[in-house]
Amino acid sequence: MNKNSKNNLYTENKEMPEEILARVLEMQQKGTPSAEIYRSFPAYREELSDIFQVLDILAGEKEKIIPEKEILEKIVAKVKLAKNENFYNNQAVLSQRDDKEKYGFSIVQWLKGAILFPENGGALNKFAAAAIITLVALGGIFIFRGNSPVAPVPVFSLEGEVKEEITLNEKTFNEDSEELVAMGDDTALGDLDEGLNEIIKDKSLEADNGKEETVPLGISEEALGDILNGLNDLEELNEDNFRDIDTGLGDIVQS
Amino acid sequence: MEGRSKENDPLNLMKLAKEGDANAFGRIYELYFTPVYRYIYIRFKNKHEAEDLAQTVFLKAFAGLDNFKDLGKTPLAYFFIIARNTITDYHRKKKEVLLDGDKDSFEKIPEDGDGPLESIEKKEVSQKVRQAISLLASEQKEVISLKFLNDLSNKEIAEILDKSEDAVRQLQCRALKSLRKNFKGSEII
Repeated sequence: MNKNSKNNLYTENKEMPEEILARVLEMQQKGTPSAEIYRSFPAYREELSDIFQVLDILAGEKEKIIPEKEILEKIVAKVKLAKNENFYNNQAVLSQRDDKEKYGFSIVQWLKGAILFPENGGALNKFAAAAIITLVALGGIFIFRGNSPVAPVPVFSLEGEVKEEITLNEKTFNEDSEELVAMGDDTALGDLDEGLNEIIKDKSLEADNGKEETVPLGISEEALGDILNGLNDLEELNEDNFRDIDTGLGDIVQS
Repeated sequence: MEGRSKENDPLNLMKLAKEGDANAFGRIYELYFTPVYRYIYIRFKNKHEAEDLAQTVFLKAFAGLDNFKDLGKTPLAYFFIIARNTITDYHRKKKEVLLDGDKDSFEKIPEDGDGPLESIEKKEVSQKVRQAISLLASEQKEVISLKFLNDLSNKEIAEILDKSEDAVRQLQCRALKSLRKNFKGSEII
């Protein structure tokens, strides 16, 4: 561009109005030949010439800016990767939605999300989930072992225990009674005879074996016979003698 | 950008992509990758930044596919809006305004098989053009990129920039007038 034309540009008062330029652009877009446009606006011939040059240069630049195929391939590869990630994220979201619908309680959804998809949550989220799970697990262990201070205190039925105790005592008492009744069927003396006879028999056997020569009480067979006779006499005398004693005691009191 | 067959209809492809049709999304990539790349490229210092940003835009577009709703807008608007927001975020993070003032920082345009002298001349022109574009106001740059580098209609641009078609037309005219001055100042024309 020479100096004169530059001066003309700034001294020119007939600058093309924007409305005319807009019409020129419309005509050009519709494919109107340049000659016809020049003829339509002869007063702005110089400016029109510059504008056409600007448009030509821009069209030339457009053809130079063409992206390389590799960039497109690179982007497509990244999008494919993003698509897969998106797929898994969508699955997680859908799964959480299902849980919410199923359980109607957001903590289940949150816990499942925190456990299964920890990458979706923040550090606080993960920590909270881990803490809850640990607490639940520890609580379960203590409850199971019954050692936990927070474990439920077992309820003992004192009434039941007492009742059981009473039942057992009654049973023992009844058994004892039956045994006593059974024992009562035998005569006391008969038992004593049998017992003495067994003792004598045992001691006689021991004496025969030479281990002991005498019975421990030093009572002979004759003496024992006398004792038994004595006991029989006592049996016969008991009523009369006790009556006499009572009478004697009554006399003493009266005197 | 408009008037495509049913199988290449972007709106139909977006619907299919939303339903999980990977091929449909692939077709959208083929259709939109170049315009989105151009839109980004013209606003960055070098190719690598533009490539990284283009990747980010398409990954974001894929991630937000469920949010795309057929509100009568072209799906291209969806991609350009993501691109626009991504560029804004990038600039905010980097705390730098790219393409502003730094004449020598533009990456060399790849060679296209011309002779050495012609190639150098073309590269120089391209760098000057990009530099001249960089001097435009942000919205003017967007309009130039969308209208003249991507052949979008005023209606499509209006949807992307959330402006009326008249406003877009006005922006276009001002951008061209400014660019004419910048080109003249850079002795491109």
